[in-house]
Amino acid sequence: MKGTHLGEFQEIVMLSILILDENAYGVTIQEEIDSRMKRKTSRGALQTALTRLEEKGFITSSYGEPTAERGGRRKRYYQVSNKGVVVLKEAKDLRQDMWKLIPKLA
Amino acid sequence: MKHPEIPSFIYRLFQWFCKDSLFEELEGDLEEKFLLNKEKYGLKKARRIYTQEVLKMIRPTILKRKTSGPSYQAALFASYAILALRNLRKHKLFSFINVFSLSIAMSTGLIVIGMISDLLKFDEFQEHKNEVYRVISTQNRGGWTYKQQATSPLPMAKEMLEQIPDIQISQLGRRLVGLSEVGEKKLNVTGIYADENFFDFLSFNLIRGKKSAVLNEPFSVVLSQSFATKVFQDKEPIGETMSINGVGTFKITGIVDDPPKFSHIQFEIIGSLSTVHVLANQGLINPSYNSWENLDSYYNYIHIKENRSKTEVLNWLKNTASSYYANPEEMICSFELQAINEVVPGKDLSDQIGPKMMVLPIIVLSTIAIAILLSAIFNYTNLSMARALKRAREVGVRKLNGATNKAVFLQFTIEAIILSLFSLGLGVVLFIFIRPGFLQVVPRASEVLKLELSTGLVLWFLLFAVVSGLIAGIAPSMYFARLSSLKALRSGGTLKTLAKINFRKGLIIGQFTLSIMFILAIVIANKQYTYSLNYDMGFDKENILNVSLQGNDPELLKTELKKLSEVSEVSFSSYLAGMGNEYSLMLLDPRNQDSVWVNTMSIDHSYISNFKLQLLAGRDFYENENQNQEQSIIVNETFVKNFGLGNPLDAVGSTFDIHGNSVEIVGVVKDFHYDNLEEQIYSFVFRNQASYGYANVKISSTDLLNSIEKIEEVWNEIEPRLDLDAQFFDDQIEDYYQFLVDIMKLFGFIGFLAISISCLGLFGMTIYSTETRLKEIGIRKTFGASEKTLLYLLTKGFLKLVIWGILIGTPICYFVFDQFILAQNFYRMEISFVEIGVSVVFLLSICLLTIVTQTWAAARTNPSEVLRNE
Repeated sequence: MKGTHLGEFQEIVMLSILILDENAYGVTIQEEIDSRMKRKTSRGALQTALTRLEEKGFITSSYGEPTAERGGRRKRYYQVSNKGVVVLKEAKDLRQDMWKLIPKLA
Repeated sequence: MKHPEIPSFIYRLFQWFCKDSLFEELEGDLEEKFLLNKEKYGLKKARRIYTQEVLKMIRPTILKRKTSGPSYQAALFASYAILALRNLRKHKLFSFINVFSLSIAMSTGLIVIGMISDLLKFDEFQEHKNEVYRVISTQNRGGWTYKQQATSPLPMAKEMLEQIPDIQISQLGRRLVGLSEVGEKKLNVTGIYADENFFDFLSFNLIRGKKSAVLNEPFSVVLSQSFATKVFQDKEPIGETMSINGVGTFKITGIVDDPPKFSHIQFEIIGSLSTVHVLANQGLINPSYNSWENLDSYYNYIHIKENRSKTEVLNWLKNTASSYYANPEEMICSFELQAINEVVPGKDLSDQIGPKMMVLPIIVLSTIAIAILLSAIFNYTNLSMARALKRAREVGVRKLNGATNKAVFLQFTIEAIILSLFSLGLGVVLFIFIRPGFLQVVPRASEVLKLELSTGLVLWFLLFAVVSGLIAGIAPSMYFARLSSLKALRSGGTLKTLAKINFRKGLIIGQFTLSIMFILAIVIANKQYTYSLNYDMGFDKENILNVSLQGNDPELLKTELKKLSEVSEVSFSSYLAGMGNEYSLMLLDPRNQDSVWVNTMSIDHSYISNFKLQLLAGRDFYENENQNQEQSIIVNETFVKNFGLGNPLDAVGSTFDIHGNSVEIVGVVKDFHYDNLEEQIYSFVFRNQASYGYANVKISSTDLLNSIEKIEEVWNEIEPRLDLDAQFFDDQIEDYYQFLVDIMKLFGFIGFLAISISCLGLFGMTIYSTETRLKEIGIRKTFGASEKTLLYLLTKGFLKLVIWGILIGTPICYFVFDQFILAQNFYRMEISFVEIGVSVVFLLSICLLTIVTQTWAAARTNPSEVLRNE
């Protein structure tokens, strides 16, 4: 199981990266999650998720150019890898199948 | 580079613990977020968020890994821990004394931590806790400034809402109390009034009913969940009616969750504030309630939305509000805003809506707890250094084998922390035992405190124990770390164990300074208590039973009661003298047109004779005087003196105006204590007015219990719905001064802890030092020293320290009590040599006992036994 398992928070992080497309780095991902989920996540918690996702190969990352607004520090941009997209789709299909099996849907 | 506005300590902390590979990205993100937050919330909040974010970074994925073998470090720590445990087991006496004294000291510390953590929780459940304020006010009438009040005038809300945008106001009223009746059920109920905005921004959860509708109509009431269950059980309460004695009949419109324990607003029911307007029209409430001049009973809670600053409201209160006072000479008020989560613990205000807890007692208790803890820590420091001789070899060998100063330091520190953690375990057990007693003894504690062991609290306890251990261990650790191995290993005697002797002596003196202060405090509180109880109040309170009228017809009660053979006299008064109540009245002196505030009480014609007040001149009130058209007053001696009316006989016949009505002094009574002993007797006026609160029943029979039963029968005939509320005056006075007994209990307990800790320390010190001097004693004995001289020699040193402690502590305690605590009472006892003497002798004898039991044994040892080895 370990290695391919996708936690709820990790799934949200990946979806956020996909939504943000070219502009997915720490601050924007955090804000995307905060505004959409209406909850406060810490950058630290996000980092744990990102590390795990990268270890599993679901996302990749690369440094951008240094900018003045961050005291000259580079941003690290994240992209979802093909493997990641597949896992996300699987998770979605699995859920949809289960929804369909519910006999009485209110 | 770091942005200059980011807190640099936090930044450096982050840099220190964050993996280098992640630091650039994460710090960049945090900095960008910081700048965004600064725009959005301002610098202060942005810095706070930054700090929180950094603290949340402490997690395995981000923390740096130690490159130099972590296993080696862990092994070292483990070995220190094992060593510490072995040492604790080996030196049982040392461990026992320390664990015992530290744990009792900790139990008080834990109580204080628990208390503070509970108080910090107050009103934290309010969703808008940072945006809701209460208007508090100070009134000044004719140059007389009153105590700051939690209440404020009602009309202010309308004006403010019109003139300041983006605020919400909810108005509350206190004391919706009385006997409630629903069908056949009768229950006493306490609640508040609130207007229709109550649920808009205050976080009380309405379960049934519509937020905007439940408190709209007059005579609507919302019940708390528990009260509703109590009255209706499973029946449907909504739509039912409930009458409250003396107020009216209410319609039940909603149900609200019980207010949380940690809320300063407490209620069983909430009545609509519009009810008050109707009550005023009916004449049940003084029509002035809705004026700028009325500061009693009503509250304004303002919600200032996050994006607006409170200065706007403050300025309005400061500049505009004062313009509503037409005649500032006569009356003017100033207003402040109090944040909702600063109410408890908070300022000492009158007219609070719910439980209150001031900051001062917390500071006092914390100081005491810290003092006791320090005392226990001194024991550890002292005893560790006293047995340095025994452990010096161990340190020497360790150092020869290559231990660094740092390693030795670490070893001894860990030992202290482990001991402290052991003590914490025992301390928590003690804490659980003391808790119920503490909640009972400390006035009002159970109203505001739970002292529940939550995970958060346990974490604080652990931190507390570790810090205590660190402080206790620092001096001995440093001492051992600096010890040179050569000195330590040289044969015994030359080691200067007593090098730090002055330091240690100082610690012991400190402990006994504390002990004598506690003993003195108890003795003095006890004396003041008996003094207050036996003080001649100036009136005869013997065998007087005070019956609360609870709104019943006084004359009817009097006629019925007088039929009883046990009752010799019945009089009436508006309140009870001698128990901290005073009512004020504005009196106009027609000769110079001066208005003066005096204290007053309304009584009937029997009161003065019933309480055996002494008439110095003139007469009592007449029995058939017209009470609606007030004509006469009786004043006290001080009144005559303050108004310069000459002697009492001359004063009779002078006239004064009460609210434009001319009254004549018909009598002068000798001064008596209408207020408590804290207050000086001031100008006082008896009015002959039928606004009574109590009947004072003089009982002639010696069978008091039987008399009360008979009175109760009479009461039940007149008022079958309410229980008789009657108490003997003597008992009431005793109750009133009960707080002194509570203080004694509290100090007694804490003092007992302080003394046991100090004595345990002394005990340990005596043992160690006599042990090291055994050889000396042996030699002295062989040369012919008697047991008596040896005893004197061994005891003298310690006793001297105790005496020093007494010499320092007594004047401090005397000064504190004389200048601050007793000074609050205008009529008070003086601290005499008897109190001081008793305390000193008590402490000295305990100490002597502790020391002599040890030195006596040492003095009697057979010299051949100790010297045999030489």
